Amino acid sequence: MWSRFSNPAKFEALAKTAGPIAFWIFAACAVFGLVNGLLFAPAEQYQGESARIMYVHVPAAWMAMGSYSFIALMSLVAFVWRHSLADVAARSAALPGAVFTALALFTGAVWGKPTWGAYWVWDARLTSMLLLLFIYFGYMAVWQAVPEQARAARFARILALVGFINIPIIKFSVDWWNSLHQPASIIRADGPTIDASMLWPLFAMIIAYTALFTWLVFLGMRADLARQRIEKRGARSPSHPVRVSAESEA
Amino acid sequence: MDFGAHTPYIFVAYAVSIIAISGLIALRIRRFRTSIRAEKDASEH
Repeated sequence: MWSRFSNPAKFEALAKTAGPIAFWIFAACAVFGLVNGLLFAPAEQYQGESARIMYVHVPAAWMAMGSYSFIALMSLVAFVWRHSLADVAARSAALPGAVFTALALFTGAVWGKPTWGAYWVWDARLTSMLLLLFIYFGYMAVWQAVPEQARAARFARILALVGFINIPIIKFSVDWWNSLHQPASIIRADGPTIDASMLWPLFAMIIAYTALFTWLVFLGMRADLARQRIEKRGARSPSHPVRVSAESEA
Repeated sequence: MDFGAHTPYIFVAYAVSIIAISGLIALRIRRFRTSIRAEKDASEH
């Protein structure tokens, strides 16, 4: 399966079809989730209206961990199978992942004030999420700081795989340590503890953020592949070197 | 939309999320278009 899309031309064909589909899934689910979350879902029994922040906080936290898991998986694929697109995919996921992590921290802080009485506490869940943000920054910095792409890729893969240790710590921190943060209420062995009237908009927002991530990664990968083609063309005809814009994200 | 005392918290959380995601989308589209245009220009030379 991995080798099927190692051909950039095949990947481009997939991305051209799947990208727009992911975008429209994002748009439809986001509208449904936002309208229902803000207007139709009931207030929570104990936290009241502030629980509506859940519809932007939970999907951001989900994708913060999801994006990093994707980066770690792609790094493993690049290490083991030398897949030509795995590093490109991992690198393209870094910026969206960092933004989702920052949003999870920010919306969590805004939700924490009316619920806990404080924007921030050095709680295990919050601290491990902050660490995740720094790992994202480090991952992006490695790609920028090391000029030789092959070496940068090697360092980035190692950092991504070592940093993955933090993901189960984030997930289980609320079970392992005393925490102000509530325990898992969706992914549980005995099923979700949230009422369906809140669960549906929440699911819609989680699907929206996942589809958005997919679309953004496809766009980022296609941009990176276009740049790689320009560089190769420039290398083949040194009498007419092609200048590649220095603008890049990660 | 009035959520009582929680209104400013809810609006800030939603506004910042929407602005950040819009910015991320705009950045990615701009980078994608720049790369595709650069490739097109390179192939014409």
